Amino acid sequence: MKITVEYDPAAENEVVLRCASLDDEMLRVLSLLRAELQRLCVWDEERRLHLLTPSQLIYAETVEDKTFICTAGAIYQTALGLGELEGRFAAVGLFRANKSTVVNLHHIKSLQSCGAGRIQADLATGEKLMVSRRYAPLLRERLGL
Amino acid sequence: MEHFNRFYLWGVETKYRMGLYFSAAVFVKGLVGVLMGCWTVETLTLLEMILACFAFACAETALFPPGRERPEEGGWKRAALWAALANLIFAAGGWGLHWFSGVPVWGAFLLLLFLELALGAMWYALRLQEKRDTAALNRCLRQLQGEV
Repeated sequence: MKITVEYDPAAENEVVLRCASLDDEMLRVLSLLRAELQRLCVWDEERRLHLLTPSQLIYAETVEDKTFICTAGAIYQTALGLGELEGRFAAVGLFRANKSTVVNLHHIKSLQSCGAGRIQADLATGEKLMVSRRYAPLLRERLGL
Repeated sequence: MEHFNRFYLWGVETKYRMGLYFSAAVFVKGLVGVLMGCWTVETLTLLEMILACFAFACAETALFPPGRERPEEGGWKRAALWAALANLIFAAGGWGLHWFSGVPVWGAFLLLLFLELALGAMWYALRLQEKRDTAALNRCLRQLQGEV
């Protein structure tokens, strides 16, 4: 695929996809763009609303039926469940690590194979997450292993 | 039916492990026998060995149950218990049931050393496998992160 970036003093950024037909590659680019353009509505401790891009999310965790979003600088709460988060933003790297956590693959510093088929994910923030035995094969598949 | 299925799966796993240890035990017994000029192995010895291997396989399956999450803490304790049980079952079996009768004392120590080396080799193989798997995981992760 040929990628061209044109600089133009336009008021709004524009992405034009030029192709003979919508093949798998183009559909993937489209889904990536759509997912990245979506905003995630969250609120903080003082109940102020924020709109996050999916790439800002480092990991999301459920605690007592509440979903918390961890970014580089803050923790927010969202109305979406982990399944919805994963479903909407899988194209931009969100992955279910275990029963209570969804992690952004782009914020993982390194992975470590552990016993009993589990994988430990070391995040860029220094935190460690365990990819459970149930989800580890899916991670391997996602990574193309 | 659920109980039967669980028992059957346990049996499959334990049988595999038992077979693995039994073949190793028979190999060592055969090798020691050949070195000492004995070309036969008694059926009773084989039965004792298979029962000892079954006992160890049961203990191993109980310590490291397949298909179940195990807490990270206590992993070393389980591994130490596994090694202690291996020593207890095979060293006690070899000495108490006269599997290697006629072997001099230095030979018995050599066999014990071989057992420890075999246990160490199994641990090393697991570490090596994890190390290679970790390298492959990180290579593919970097690839995925570079794609977008």
